[in-house]
Amino acid sequence: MKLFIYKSLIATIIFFIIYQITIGATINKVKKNISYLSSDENKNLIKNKIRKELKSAIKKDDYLNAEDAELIKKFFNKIKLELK
Amino acid sequence: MNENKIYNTTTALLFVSLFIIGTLTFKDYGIGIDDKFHRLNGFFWLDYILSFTNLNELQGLVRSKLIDINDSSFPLMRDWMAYGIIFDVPAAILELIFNLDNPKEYYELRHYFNFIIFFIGCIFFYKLLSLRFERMVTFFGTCLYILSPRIYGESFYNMKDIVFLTFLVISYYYCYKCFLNFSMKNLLFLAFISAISVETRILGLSIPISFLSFYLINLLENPKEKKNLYKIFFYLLSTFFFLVLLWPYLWNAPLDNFLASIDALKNSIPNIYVFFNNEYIDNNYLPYSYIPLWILISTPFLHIILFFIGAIYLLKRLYVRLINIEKNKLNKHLWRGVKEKNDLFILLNFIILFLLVIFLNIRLFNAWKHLYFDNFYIVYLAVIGLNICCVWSKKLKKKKILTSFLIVMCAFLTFKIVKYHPYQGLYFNSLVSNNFKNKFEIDFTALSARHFYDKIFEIENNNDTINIANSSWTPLVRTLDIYEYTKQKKINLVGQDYTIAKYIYSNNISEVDKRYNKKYDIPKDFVKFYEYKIEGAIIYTIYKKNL
Repeated sequence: MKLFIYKSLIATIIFFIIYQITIGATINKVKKNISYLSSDENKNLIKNKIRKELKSAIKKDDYLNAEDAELIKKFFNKIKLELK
Repeated sequence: MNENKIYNTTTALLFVSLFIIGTLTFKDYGIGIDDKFHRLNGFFWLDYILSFTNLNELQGLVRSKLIDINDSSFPLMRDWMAYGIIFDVPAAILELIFNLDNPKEYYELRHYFNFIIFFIGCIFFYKLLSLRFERMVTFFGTCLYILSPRIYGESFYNMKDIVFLTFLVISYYYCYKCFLNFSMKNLLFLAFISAISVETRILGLSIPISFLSFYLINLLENPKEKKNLYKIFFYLLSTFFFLVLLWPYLWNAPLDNFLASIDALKNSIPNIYVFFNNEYIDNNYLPYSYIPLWILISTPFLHIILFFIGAIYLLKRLYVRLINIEKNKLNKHLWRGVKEKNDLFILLNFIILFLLVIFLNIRLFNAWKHLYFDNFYIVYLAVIGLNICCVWSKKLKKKKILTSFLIVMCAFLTFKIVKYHPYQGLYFNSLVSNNFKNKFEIDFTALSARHFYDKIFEIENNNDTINIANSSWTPLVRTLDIYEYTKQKKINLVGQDYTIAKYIYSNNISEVDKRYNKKYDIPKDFVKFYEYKIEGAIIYTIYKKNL
């Protein structure tokens, strides 16, 4: 009986450590990433990146290459026609 | 002179020196960010206690003091009702007895009171060791406890964690007394000190829980122990009785409020970012290495080496005992004698608490401040290691060499404590490079704020108002209280309004991730003006506007 209890206690502690190191650590990692994605810091980072891209786009003479510009133009015209 | 006499004299000298040094130096420490809150907490609960009496005049005085403690950087008291009062209320009473109105004086009084509690803890640590070890080990073990630089430094201003550490030491002393003699008197003392520990920090619950669990293990080892069951009930009931008696928060609704205080533990530490290993990390998701790494870099190397020797020895001994039980050898138990029982009790408490704190993602900040109570376990296991070294040295007839080595190491630690003075609480051990030190948050409690203001007053010795911005989370305003009114009026703290600031105070304490949140970025029109460093660790930096 005594030995059984001691073994159970040791097994519980070892199980707890292994669980935390393997599954627990992975869950924590996922939680941390989700928390980071929805954090104000991350939102600000994305906003700042968009602003930076817009600024650099304004500065460039030709932001789009000729082929992309033609494609987008055709696409907008198509949408415009469908909306009429 | 025989060896016993020498150790008695040196121990007495050690305690007298500690007391004198503490008494002469307690005024050197800065005002931490928590000092004002402890004062508020003390007077808040003193007012509550006085409301049950007819001492209206005294209550009026307490209320006037409460009104004076006005600070917008404080959380609301109703959110901190479960905060312990065992230090704060007596400190508030002392302030009233000595009739102190000068902020510098009443904060210094609290610092001295804090040190006296630590001093009492040192005596109990010595008493505990003297029950367990021989004279030489007891003496050097006590030296290890006193010469833990972070703990020594914090003993002057950490009114929560050091006080808890002290009560934990006293609890373990009485646990040992109970193992030696399971008398009602010892249990009553243990119940009283357990209640104080729980009241100081809810983690103190580990004492009654582990004591009860160990009694159950004891029952497995020796079924005759059943006869003491009523004593265990007596201990648990007395603990709860003392807890309610000493904690005004429980007077209204003992059980409900006690459960609420356990629940409050989750939110007692704010969710902020901490600077750890060169990264700002959300303290909800601290890496498992947070506590072990902090302990490794901020505990003296001697303590760490001896700790590992002691811990490995105890674990090996536990394994051997378990194997012997499995082999069904007669009279084989988990421990032999009270000394082994006490070692095992302390080892298991340490392992369980340590694993729980690491793996349960408990929010932490300010290094391992919330776990300073672990220093008791670290030093106790280090003393076990020291005991083993002592046994080896006796076998090899090299005891004198070991003694000389320990004297040199203690002298070296004393030198470090003197060198860091009064910032021992920011100690890093000698193995940590200067570059590595600056990858961690350093002066969270803003001890250096006093040094910073003194520096500013030294530079700006005219009567003009000085606008100071703050590029850190440190509430600089709380330290300003200790200065005379004219000096206080000279300082205008403008937060992060850098445009009107002449100086900027900066350190690496931030509640936000500095990589993405730019509120603490130093504007380009400011240049580095002064940097305060201790052994390579940057405590704070002053930037000045480039006019």
